[in-house]
Amino acid sequence: MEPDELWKELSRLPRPEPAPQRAAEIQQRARARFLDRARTSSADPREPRAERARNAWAWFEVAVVAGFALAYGGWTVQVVAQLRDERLGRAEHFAADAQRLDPAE
Amino acid sequence: MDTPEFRARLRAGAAGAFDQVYAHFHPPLYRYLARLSLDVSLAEELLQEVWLRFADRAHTLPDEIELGAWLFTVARNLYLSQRRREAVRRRWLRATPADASASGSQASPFEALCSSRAQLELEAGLAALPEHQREILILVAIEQLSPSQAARILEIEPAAARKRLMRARQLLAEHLQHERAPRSAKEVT
Repeated sequence: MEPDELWKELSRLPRPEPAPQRAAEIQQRARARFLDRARTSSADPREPRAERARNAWAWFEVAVVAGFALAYGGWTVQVVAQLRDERLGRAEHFAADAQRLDPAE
Repeated sequence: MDTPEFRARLRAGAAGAFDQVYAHFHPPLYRYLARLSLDVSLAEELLQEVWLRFADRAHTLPDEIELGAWLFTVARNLYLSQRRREAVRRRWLRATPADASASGSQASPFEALCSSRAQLELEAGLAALPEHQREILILVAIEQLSPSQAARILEIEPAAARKRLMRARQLLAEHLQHERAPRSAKEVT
């Protein structure tokens, strides 16, 4: 059988419809659920899933930044304070030296 | 059916919109599942689940999602899950090959509806193809979906879908030739 002929034959294969009674049963059940969901979703409008995911991700980012700030922020403050103390200590030391070596005394 | 107005009606919960989608897609989904699973009752069972899922999600489906492709994809995924469950069950029961073949027929459920010998052979040939090749032929050649729509449903690249389609057609032609050769030899003798 030629490829084109095969294609035509395939498109002519039987296209049966599902059993009407079973199809009606499924439709009735699914439609009842569809209407029920529509009622519930209009009474309680929830954020769409994508929106919820974006919000969750944003909160996660905030938490990570805050965590870093807490962990390294304390450490940075400590280092700055230490440097300041060292500088002040040195300044006091030089001031004392200067006083000791003051020729006017 | 994929117009923004129709989708808005669907989101709003219009029963008429639901009925329209159902009337349009129920028969092709049924044929697809029946030819894929080679089992009409399993197809009906899975189809019910497809529509219940649609009822759950119809209000939140974004406009850019094509309804037909979504429904066929859900149908396919449900079928694949069912197959996996069945395979696990068989492994647990340590089914013998005889048991396994007894649980599912390998003939098309629509053979009785064929009006000619050629159709019968074609339907049988289709049922004998490997599943992934059978399903692309069902979608494109029988249900008249475009190869790119079929690619979306099968979750493959359009180029891969075209390649698979070509291979499936080739295999089916070979199968038919193989089936007809002994018969014509018998007719000659």
